[in-house]
Amino acid sequence: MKKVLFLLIFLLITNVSYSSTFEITISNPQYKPIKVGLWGFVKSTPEIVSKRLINTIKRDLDMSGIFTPDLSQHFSYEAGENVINGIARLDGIDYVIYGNAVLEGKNVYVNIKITDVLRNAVVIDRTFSSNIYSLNWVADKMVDLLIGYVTGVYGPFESKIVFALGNGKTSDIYICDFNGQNIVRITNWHTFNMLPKWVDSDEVTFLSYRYGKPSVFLFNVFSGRLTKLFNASNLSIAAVRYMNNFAISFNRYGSTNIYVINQRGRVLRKLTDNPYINVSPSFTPDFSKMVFVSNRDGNPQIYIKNLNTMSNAERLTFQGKYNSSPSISPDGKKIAYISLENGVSYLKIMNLDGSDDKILMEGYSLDSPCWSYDSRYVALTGRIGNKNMIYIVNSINGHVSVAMETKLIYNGLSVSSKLR
Amino acid sequence: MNRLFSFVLMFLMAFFLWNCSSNRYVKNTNNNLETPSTENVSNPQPSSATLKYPKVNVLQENMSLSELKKQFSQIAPDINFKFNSYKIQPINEYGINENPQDILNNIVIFLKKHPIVKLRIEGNCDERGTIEYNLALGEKRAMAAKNYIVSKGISPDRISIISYGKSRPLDPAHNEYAWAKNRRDHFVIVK
Repeated sequence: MKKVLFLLIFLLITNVSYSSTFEITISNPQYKPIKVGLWGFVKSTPEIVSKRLINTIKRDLDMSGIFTPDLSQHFSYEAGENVINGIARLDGIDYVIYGNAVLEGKNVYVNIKITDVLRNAVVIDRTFSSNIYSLNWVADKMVDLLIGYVTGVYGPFESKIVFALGNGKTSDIYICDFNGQNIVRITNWHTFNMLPKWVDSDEVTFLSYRYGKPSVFLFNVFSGRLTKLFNASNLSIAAVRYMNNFAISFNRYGSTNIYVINQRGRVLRKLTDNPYINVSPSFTPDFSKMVFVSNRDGNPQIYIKNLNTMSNAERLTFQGKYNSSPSISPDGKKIAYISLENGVSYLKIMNLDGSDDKILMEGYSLDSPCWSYDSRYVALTGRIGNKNMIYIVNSINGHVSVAMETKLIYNGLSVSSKLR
Repeated sequence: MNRLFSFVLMFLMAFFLWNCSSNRYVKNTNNNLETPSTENVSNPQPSSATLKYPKVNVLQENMSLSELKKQFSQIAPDINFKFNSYKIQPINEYGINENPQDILNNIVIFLKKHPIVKLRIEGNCDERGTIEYNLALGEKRAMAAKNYIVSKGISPDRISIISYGKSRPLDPAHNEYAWAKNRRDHFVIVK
């Protein structure tokens, strides 16, 4: 009897201990930042130059999600590589950035070196001629070179983000660097301008209510040339590049479909033919496939269509009742999109066939995901409390950083290709 | 004789002066204004009236339009929708209890009573969806209200629609009550 009782107690204890197991979620097991010594410039470097360069390099390193900057040391440029690498090794640092700059009138000559501590060698040594206002670009380029050296894929910081920012009554178009610096407003029309999209290295399209009826404009950001692209509908949504033309969603005969229009706004081709909502086209680099959003099955979901065969669109998303804003990566391998569940929005990525679907980020009011030209980072807008953000997300390790923060409302975002 | 001559001369001068005076003309004009002839009533001259009193006329026109708008705003509040829906249906959630069809019926009566009036329907969404899809959804919401009004006998030429998506929230808060208010069609008299 005692043995049976003992057995029962033993079973009870083992069962309880089994049911009380818990889970540990390890979201980014590979994420281990690489330490980069940002040890500044030689003392003769003008402070305005060194400060600007270091601030931007530090910002880029932080946002990359790959590196952790270390500013604990300050070295003279004349210090030998062996000295620098020796101390860096002691501090557990993997790379060191240092340099020299000379200011001559309006010109700045900058020499920057990056040493690989493990190899005990200078691996990048570049000299740039610039002006004081373009120093950020020099810093961006050095970080891109370092990312390229470490990962094999050139970094994303030599691009621009175009975005719309409004207060609920008006909204204007702005451009900033990929890291959120150097903000420039390009419209000041006291009306609603939204959904800007890069369609070329120097051109953006955007939707405007400037003349009451929504119109899509084409704007050259360098020359300032403005062209009205399309306004032949009471609903026209942002235009994206489709070969040498544009793809645009607009309402015709009561249904919103995706059309191809030329530079003069003439409709050339209909890419979807469905009586429901069909919006947000994004294309593979060879323009053979298009992903888009449609509510043809009741809720907004993401579909893919082969444009060579013009076969029926295939649905890609089946989880959740709201999946929208698809964006194909420039290498044509991944789709980033926004999924909405119970008031919380998620940035997800998946393969072109819908496989390997995973959550990259969770937040509120996430919108307008757009890939950087290296197909590694995703820029998007979102909200924390009453503050609205532009986030930069590393799609490989899930690192999230904030490029911009404001109380105003974002009305669209797009990332350019690599700019010269 | 001289006395007779001077008396006749004075009489003639007095008569001449009486004839030259404008009293009779003024008196007659006044009579005309006070008791207008039937000819004047049947043939009004709006052009001369407009020229004489342009400011008064413009003011009256503005007042009538503003009065129309005031009347319209009382009978045509925003109609609301459920999340991700553009179906016109009764709603009783998050502080909103309305039957949009009642509001639309009032708008139909108003439009029939004022056949010159033109209407713009503005479709709006809450902040949760994405911008591009919400623009299309807002347009569907505006279109749903337009179709209802047209089905009640109003010419479609009198109704224009526009979508603002989620860019013009009525309530900027981030909760279900604010979102319910922001999923709406707003009605505006444009002429």
